[in-house]
Amino acid sequence: MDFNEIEFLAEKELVTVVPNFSEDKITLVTGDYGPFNPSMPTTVPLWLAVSLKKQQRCHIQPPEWLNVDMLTQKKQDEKESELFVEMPSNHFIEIATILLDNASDDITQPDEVRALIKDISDARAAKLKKGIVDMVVERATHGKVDNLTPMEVTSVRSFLTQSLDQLHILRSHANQHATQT
Amino acid sequence: MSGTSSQTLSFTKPSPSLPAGTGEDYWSLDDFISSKERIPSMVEENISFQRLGHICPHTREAHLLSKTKLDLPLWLAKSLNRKEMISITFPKAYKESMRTALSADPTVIDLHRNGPYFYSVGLSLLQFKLDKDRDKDEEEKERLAKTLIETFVRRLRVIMDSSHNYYCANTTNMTNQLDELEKYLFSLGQEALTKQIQYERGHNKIIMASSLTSNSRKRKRN
Repeated sequence: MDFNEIEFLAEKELVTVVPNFSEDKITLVTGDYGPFNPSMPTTVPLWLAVSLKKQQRCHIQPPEWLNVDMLTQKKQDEKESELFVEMPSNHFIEIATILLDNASDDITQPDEVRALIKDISDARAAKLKKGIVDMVVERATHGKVDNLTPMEVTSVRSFLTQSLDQLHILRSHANQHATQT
Repeated sequence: MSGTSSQTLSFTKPSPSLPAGTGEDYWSLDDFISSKERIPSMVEENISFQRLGHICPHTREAHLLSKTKLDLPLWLAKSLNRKEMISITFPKAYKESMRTALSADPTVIDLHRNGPYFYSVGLSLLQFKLDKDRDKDEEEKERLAKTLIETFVRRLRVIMDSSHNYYCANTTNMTNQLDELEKYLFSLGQEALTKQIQYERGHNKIIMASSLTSNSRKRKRN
């Protein structure tokens, strides 16, 4: 999977928008959305929200975790925990990036939020790399990677699987000689 | 020759992975190239090859006599060794002195010069008969296998760190000391890093026409 494909999947997540136009229910493949009435919040997929926002036909209510307080807490948790902390959404990086790029006026303190998101994802990436090294060097048989987001998995997938494959081949050849005696 | 590798034949992107089965991987070009590695061999006692003196450059004999020392390519040495017609010693990269260096710090060794198929050839050497004494032979193989694994694991850490951090930098400094297999893994890490950074910087938002359509001649007529 590619980063673009993961972003595409993230765009299916639902967000709440406050429209400024009237429209009946619209029927899409993924379901019915609406009806749209001015100042009446309704949930739509992220891609639709961004599209409406670009036409200045709605305000996006950012998800409840997309603010400085919640993210500071998550960052703290992530730093203190040895394992990966559960994130509010499996696509938190992508959703935050999309919203910050397209609807930064709907988010309070967008710059701080952007910095926090970057901090969290950096902390998690460092943890992931350290975990891989421990796993390979110390011959652990499994690694606990709960709460890893698809984005993070993608960043190490090809390298990690291939390396472990080759290592396995080396080890199985070596074991053959250990057992033949 | 029971190569049961999951790799499919691909010319566009070489993947010098190790042969998964005990034999060679028939479709792997890298495996094919690595089988030309020279192995220092010696013709066994009571064996001589008639009229093959010319393959040994430093003798003028018409026949290849017993106890002649010469370098043979891996593929030839392997089958002759199996028939007990020649005995072999390790190539330089697998000798005791090199192994001491590798166990001290594998990350500073230039495996490209000592390879460039260090692991692949190393695995092939495990299939040779290294010593007439069975126990000694097994002991030697076990030590070689251990060296290969240790080296790979300890170097992998450096490769992972560098391949996930170099961006838009000249990586030849790093890669010219790597074995072909390591180079491949390095490139995988680099590819992922590039894609991630391109995504983060929003390069992917611009949808480009496929080069196939923009180069197509039919459309350029008007």
